[in-house]
Amino acid sequence: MNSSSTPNHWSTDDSSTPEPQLSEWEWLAFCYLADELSPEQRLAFEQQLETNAEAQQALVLQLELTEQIAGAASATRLTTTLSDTLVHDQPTARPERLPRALRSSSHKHRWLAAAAALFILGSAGIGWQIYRSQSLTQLAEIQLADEWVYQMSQLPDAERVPSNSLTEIDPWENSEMADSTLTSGTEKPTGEYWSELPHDENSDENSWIYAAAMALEDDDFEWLPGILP
Amino acid sequence: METDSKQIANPAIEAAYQQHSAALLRFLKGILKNEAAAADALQWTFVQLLEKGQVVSIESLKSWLYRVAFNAAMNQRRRSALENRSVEQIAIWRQRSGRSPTDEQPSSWVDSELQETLRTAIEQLPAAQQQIVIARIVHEKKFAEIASELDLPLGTVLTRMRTALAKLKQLLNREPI
Repeated sequence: MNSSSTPNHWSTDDSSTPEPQLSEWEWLAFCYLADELSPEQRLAFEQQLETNAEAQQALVLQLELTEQIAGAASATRLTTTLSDTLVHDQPTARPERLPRALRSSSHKHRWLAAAAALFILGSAGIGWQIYRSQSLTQLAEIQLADEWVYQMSQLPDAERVPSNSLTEIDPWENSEMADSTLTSGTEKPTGEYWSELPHDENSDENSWIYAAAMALEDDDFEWLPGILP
Repeated sequence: METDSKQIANPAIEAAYQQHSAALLRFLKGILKNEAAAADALQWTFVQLLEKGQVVSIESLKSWLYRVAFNAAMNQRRRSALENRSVEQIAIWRQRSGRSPTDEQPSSWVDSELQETLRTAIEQLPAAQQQIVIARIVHEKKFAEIASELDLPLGTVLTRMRTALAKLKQLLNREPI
């Protein structure tokens, strides 16, 4: 191909229009960049690129032009133009779906709602258990108070303890064992009281507190449901 | 080959690099469709100039560069893997100039003022031309595909595209390379 000749492929049919036109080399360069040439045309143009300054300049110019146009046309208002004009080519519109982000968000919300429901149910269960145990304790206190009033009413007036001057009752008041003979919590007691009690010789639990508790009769606790296990 | 007194010296090679490298990079990118490969080919071109510059006259420098660049692109295309070549002299030139062809491309290619002008110009194109420009350049549709979608003869599509490009090219107002 002579460098002064012009390519005749992809010729357009508007030679009579007065509007500005690209040179043949520029148009060919554009088609080359757009990969619109046949293999033969492509090879012929590349042969020109080696030595033909017009072809070389046209390629440089068209590359810059198309990249500038692509950058400029990437703006939303321009890219939507084609969609508007080719709307008849679009497939039948599908029912609208939530965007993926919203769909995944909705999915997360379902899990959050389930977790919240479980939390509420768990909290309600725990609350009910606390309320129930508190109710039993209050019931026991009321029964204890009633029993106290009843017992006091059965005593002669002289033996009644004034309600505003409660004194500590010494469970060992009538005992022959003095306080000084009692052991601490970590000492093993000695003497006749200790020997009468069932105990484990190897246990540190044996103390005067344990002995005191064991000295009480079981019947003392029968009317206190909910306090003892 | 010319071997007269106007042989290329290193300062002249550096000046040639400053003057032609940007356009040469576009030229190579147009052939290779790959910026990294084009940059490699450009380096190879100037390495050749550096090595054989003694036999190149200033008058024929530009055509020599394009011919060598073209051959570099062809070699590059034939190779399956790109070679990494260390070119210290070019790196020094880049440091001296504070920029490189690949650095300066974005500044010219992403010229916001020019793009705004082009955007306005595209919007002012007749709708028939505008939709073809966008379909071809933005959506990268083939002309035959566009013609089929718009139910137009291929020649009409080509004419509208060519006319639109001619109008838009005027806005570039480029100096000749």
